Amino acid sequence: MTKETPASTSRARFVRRFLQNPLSLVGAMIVGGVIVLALFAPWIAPYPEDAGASVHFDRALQPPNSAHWFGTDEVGRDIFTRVLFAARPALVFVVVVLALALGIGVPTGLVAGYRPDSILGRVILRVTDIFLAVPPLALALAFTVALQPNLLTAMVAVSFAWWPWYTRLVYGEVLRIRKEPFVEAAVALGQKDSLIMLRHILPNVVSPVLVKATLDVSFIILLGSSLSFLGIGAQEPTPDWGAMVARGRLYLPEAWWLTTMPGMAIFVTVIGFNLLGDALRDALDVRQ
Amino acid sequence: MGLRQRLVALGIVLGIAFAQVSFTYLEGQEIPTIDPAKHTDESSLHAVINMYDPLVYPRVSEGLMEPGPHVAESWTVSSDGRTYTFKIRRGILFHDGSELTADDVVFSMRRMLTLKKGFSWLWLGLLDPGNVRAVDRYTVMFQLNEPFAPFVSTLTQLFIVNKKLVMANLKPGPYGALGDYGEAFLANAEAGSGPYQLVRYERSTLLEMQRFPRYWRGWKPKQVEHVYYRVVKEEATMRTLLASGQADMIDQWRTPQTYEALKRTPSVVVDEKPSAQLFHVQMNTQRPPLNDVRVRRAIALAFDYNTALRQIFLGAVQARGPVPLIAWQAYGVKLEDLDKYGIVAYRQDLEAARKELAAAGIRPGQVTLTYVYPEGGNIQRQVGLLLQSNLNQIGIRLNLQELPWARIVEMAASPESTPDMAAIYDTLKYPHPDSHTYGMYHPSAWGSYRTISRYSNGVVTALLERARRSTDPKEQLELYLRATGLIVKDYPSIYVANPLHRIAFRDYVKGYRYVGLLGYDVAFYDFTVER
Amino acid sequence: MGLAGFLIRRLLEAIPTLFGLLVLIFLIARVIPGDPVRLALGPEATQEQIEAFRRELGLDHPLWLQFVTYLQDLSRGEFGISLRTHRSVSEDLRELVPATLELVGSALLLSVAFGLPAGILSAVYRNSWIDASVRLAAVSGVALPRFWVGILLQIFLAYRLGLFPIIGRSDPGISLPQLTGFRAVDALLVGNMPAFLDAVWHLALPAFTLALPTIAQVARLVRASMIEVLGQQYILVHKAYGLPPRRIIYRFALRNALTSTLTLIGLSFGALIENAFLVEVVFSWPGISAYGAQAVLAKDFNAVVAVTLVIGLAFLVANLVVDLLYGLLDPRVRYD
Repeated sequence: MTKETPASTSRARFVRRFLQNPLSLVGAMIVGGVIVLALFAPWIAPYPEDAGASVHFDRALQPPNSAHWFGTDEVGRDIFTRVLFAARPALVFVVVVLALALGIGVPTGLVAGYRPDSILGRVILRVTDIFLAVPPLALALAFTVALQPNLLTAMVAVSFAWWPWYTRLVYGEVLRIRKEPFVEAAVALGQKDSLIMLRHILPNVVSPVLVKATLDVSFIILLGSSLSFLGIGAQEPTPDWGAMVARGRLYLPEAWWLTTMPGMAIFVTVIGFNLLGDALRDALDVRQ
Repeated sequence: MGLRQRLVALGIVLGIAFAQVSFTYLEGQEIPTIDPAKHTDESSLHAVINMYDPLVYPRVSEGLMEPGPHVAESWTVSSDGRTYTFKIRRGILFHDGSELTADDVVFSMRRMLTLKKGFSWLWLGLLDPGNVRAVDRYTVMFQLNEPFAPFVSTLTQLFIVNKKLVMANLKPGPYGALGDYGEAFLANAEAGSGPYQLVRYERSTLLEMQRFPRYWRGWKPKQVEHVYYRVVKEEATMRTLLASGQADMIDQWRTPQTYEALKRTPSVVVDEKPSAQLFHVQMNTQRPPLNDVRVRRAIALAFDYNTALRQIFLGAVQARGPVPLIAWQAYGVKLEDLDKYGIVAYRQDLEAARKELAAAGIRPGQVTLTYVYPEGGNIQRQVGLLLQSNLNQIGIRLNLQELPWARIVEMAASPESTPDMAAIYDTLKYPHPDSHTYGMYHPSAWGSYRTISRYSNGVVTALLERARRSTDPKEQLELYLRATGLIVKDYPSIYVANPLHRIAFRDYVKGYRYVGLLGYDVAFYDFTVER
Repeated sequence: MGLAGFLIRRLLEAIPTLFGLLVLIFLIARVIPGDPVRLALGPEATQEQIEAFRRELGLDHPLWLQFVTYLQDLSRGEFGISLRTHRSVSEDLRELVPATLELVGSALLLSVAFGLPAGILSAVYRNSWIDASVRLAAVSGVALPRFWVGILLQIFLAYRLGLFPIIGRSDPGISLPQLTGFRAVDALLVGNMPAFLDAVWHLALPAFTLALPTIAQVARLVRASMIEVLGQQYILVHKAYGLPPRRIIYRFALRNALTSTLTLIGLSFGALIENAFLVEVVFSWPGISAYGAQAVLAKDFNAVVAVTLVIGLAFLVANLVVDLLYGLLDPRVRYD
């Protein structure tokens, strides 16, 4: 839907629709909660030093109790603290990946959609097709072959696999919008291409991109934690959900809390973003 | 086949299966190869030890690592230490029924030297294929390019393949008349004379073996007849399978906690012995500030050895220098002797550590180092966390980096990419102190994961070279001791532990003996099952 | 234009994409800093050994020559030698691909078997507690990290309760001839019931773990499309003809739901293959995805290339099939 109605009423409509859906509030609360916990972890967490270089072997592998709500790990660190702190690399991961993916995907989609028959447009589409020919996790994993297994690598690898989806999306939208009368008018009036793209097309592309980005957050979190489960993620002693699940496996089935708690955190965060994304999509009334 | 006939057949099969003494062993890693010229991993070594015979065999039954006669009945060394003549035992049959002769021994060694894989590094440059000859049907001569004191010990890695069988199965390849030298054939089949024959080989899941009735050492009742060597990558699964009796033995690489738990499990025995293994944190002596011995000494003084030994290793012998204690003991060296040469255990002393750093002109917070450890290296990781916390107290920042083993090996290859510090398990390669001295501290060995320290000390180098060439065992030993003492004073590593070797099996398994050499404790021929 | 023309055109379009993929994978795999040859020979390898092996693999040739050789080899189905297993990669793949396909295939079957009824029930009993629980399960299902779920199911159903085997594809005591490579199928083909049951029993947990998010997606999709159709038809027909037999409406709605589901299944095929490695790692399932993951960590480029290509091909084929089916099922689509 192109913005022909005054901005204030469409915004009001959006807010109303958003609030009508009970699950949207749940989603917003979870997401908000995760962000708050990530930001304020050093002050909220009971044993903040356990997120860094600290070992206490005398209290290793304790089950959940009043002193340690999620128990302790094999070197005695408080798991609740580490789960809280691990929200940080997870969120940073999401932000960086989205920034990179959007940063590459949106402009390329714009160019390809605006001038699909140009050489540049065709090249972009062809390259996009190639990247899309492989599922993102496989592509991201293949990409890490060349680099050190750490958080930066994981972020770059996932962005590398993710940007084509935005190119495709934006391309489709731009193709559609280009045929709208007000764009045709601008072209006829002799406005510069770059101006048209920025002023008329880009604003109308924002909605679907925003919805997709929010829905993508959960995929990106799952992708990131899968990579760090395999060892391509934040290094010790930085807490990281996927890595914690992987390391905890050695102590199964007795010390189940090492694996279960971080996994639960991933689960809850992803649900939150899913609910929020769904609610956003319904509220913006955008058909995917 | 009708249903009844099928049931009868099933019954017969099951009957045979039950009548046989079968044995299930669980290993945590895949079995990359069963070719005795290519094996390097423990699982492959197990396969080869059971299906082939080596020229000499460690004296496991006497509890010694030292080699004794096996395929070779006896041997002599020339006075210049360069020519070794071996007499081959008569009557050893390969699995196809043909007799093992000197020709097969020559073929096997030449094959290893030509393929240049697996354990051939022990002899490359030392022995040329042309200098391995069959003097007669049962005599083999090796002419080395220069004297090499540990030579006979290294021959525990020369496994004899059936020359005729391999030659009959050659495929086209780069070795002229020898084609592919049987690489394709031996990748999935075996040409051995060992106690067990190959039944099934599935790289990532299973190796199945059946006893060879005409094995030259003969068979006694209750020995293992059928082996299921299974790959199980899950720690907890292994434990459950052993505890429930579905497996008879598990490997030595489980966490100390697992073995402690298994000790409390009924009907399970945990065998614990000092190992011929060194766990140490190597320091790159070529990279500032680690090139200053005072800095290395400070780091070694900062480490909390007691906590590591008690809480991480759950009981281990503290390392004294690089050579595992039982390697010295095998040659009759006592602890007092080690003291005499200055081969002592390091101790934690934070005050002294700070003083050393100050003497080296380093202020707190000035130095950041990277500690590298292999993926899945749980013990190495915990040691890293402990060290990180210790070094914090003397003002050195430590960054931990987990890397695939592939990466670490590759990084060690060039001086620029060699890491600052690396936590490594180094198992005795052959039963001789040379393995953990020359192999780790002679500049010719630089470029491997064993020589991340890139240590070079002229005096030590000279001592080690003299030791290798020496033909007098007493003098040899003394030279190795002196060299080691000097190495200890130079702090190229934080020598942490000779971890306890632990392995677990059901209580009806008898005959298990660990002597220190990798793989030789899992020769199924040595076990009896007393159910 | 017709079906044949459509297929040909799509295949032709796929070729430059495939070529581009080959170049991309080659670049990723080859132009990397470092020396995995060293690893392949074991850490004790001498320089001599390394040089010999490198020559054997043709890695001392200039890059463009390597690329040409690479293309030539690929056209013959030759993927080279795996640095890790020291065997030809095609041999490795031949063993592993059927295992993963069996896992993915079972997961797809489960997705439909559980997802379809759940979605239908949810749509039919809309806004009831059935609907609510299905929707809740669906939202959770999609959010579950597969590796975590697999581990949990392992702990509770396999360890604690002993209802399922903990890992692996089969009991080592049971041997089957390699006919199709799918143990369950092979067992049926030779009439070996114990082997069949053993294969299915081992498949259960891994396939279910892999399928869980897809089951959720299918349920959601089926529910959404059925509701959409039900909403429209019900109103229209109700207005025009009075209450029609419910069955006709449901068949209509179901048809629409099936179309979207098929599309989803086809698209999920690629996703399931790539996610299979998480499940394969947890359950020690000897498949191609775990092999690929290990190849990446070991910098085994021949294997990485091969696995990525196989996955890419599977993805392409799946997309093609989906487009075809979509066209067949939905008469509104014309092949232009």
